[in-house]
Amino acid sequence: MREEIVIALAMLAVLLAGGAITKNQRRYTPLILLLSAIAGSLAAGMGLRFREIVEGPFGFLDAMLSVLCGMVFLRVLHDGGALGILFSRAARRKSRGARALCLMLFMALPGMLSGSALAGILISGPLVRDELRKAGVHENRVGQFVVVGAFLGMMLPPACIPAMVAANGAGSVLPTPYTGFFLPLLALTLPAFLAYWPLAARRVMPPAQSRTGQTEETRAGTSLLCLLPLLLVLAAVTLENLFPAQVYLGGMPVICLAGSLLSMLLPAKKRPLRDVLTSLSDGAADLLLPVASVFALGAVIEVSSMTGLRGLFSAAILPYAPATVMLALMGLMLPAGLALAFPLAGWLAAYAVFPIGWMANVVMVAGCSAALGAAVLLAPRGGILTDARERLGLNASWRGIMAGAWLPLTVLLACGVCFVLFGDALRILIV
Amino acid sequence: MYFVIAALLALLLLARAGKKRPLPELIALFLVIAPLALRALGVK
Repeated sequence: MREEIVIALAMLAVLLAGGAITKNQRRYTPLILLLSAIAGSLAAGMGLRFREIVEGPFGFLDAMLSVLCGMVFLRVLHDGGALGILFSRAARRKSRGARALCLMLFMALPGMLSGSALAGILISGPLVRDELRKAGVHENRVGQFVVVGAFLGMMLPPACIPAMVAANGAGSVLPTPYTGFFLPLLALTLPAFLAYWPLAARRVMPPAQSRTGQTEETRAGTSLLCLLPLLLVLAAVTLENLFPAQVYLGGMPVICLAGSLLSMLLPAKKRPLRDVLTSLSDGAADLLLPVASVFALGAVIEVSSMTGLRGLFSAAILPYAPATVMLALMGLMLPAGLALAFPLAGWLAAYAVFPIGWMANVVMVAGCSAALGAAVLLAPRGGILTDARERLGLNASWRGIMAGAWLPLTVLLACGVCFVLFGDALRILIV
Repeated sequence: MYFVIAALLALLLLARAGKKRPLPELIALFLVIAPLALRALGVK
């Protein structure tokens, strides 16, 4: 057996053993990935290669800056009361269709700005859960709505952690920057979003009269000025991504931090300075585990490159068309997600986009990221469902969630496959 | 500008480090702070 395969098996064994011992608990994911990187380095006889283990995360640094800044902005906005006002306006709609659409957008908003489904669960989840529970909606359907909304938010632009992971994998030696993904991700996820909308309106939304009312913020008649930072940030990010040659406002981190400052100046409710500062650090800490997992995955990818595994892989795939290799690995990501949630699927995603090289077609990379997103949604443990159960106390079963999630999941995967197959023809989406 | 943002985020995360946290979370915290701090110091 070739040495590279032995190294890969050693790394895989650590991932599998770690997942089995910790039952895929999210808090152990970064540690397991880090141990896998160390195991690979030791198995190759190279000792503890700190350089590669430290260098790997640097490939994700700029993308993770956006993620953390997005979450800081969302936390400041939420703790200042602005999102409560937005929610009460969204939940006030009379028709089930309009309410389902507004609440889906509300559920998706944090994931869109931070790229993580956990953000949707932490920020929008409690409000949506309480609203649906009060209306007597079954726990499985509450969980389904929250999980699918957070998942779609994660996949919608501008920020999307699965696409960031895939983009990095396309980089070969040099990491590919996370740019040009706005329209591809929108085209990838919008069909799934629209497919779930009627389903949510019919099966999840209660009739208008059974709603219990609005939140305190609406009753107090608070000014809508507190929503101005959100509108400005959304407009700035959209303009910058749609017209990159004409508009440059400093990128996502700068825009989100400017939005956070503005939000501190325009709160819905007055708070002591200490609370405002706590919101800032809470925001950075909220996404600690997903960001740490991505950084640790960077170490795994770097070590697998250092030990020659990536070279062996690139030689092995030479006879095959890039799309064939991508689709095969996308297919493998789904069982990998079911077994181990993010770690193995993320590793496969980095290899799945490798055949198209560092001059990556971002449409194909976005298509590939659909499988990584799906893997995280499918995971019975250690994925979005676990976050929803642990952070929101939802008593929803995996089957109950999948009873509604299968439709957006299938549509998203079908779009992902089309993006990989027809990536060259879809280059018009790259701006 | 990005160095400043990295430093700011590292400081915000450090502010949370003082609270009692289990070891796996402390490792995660270190994993996130280390690259941010290195970037803030202009290492890479």
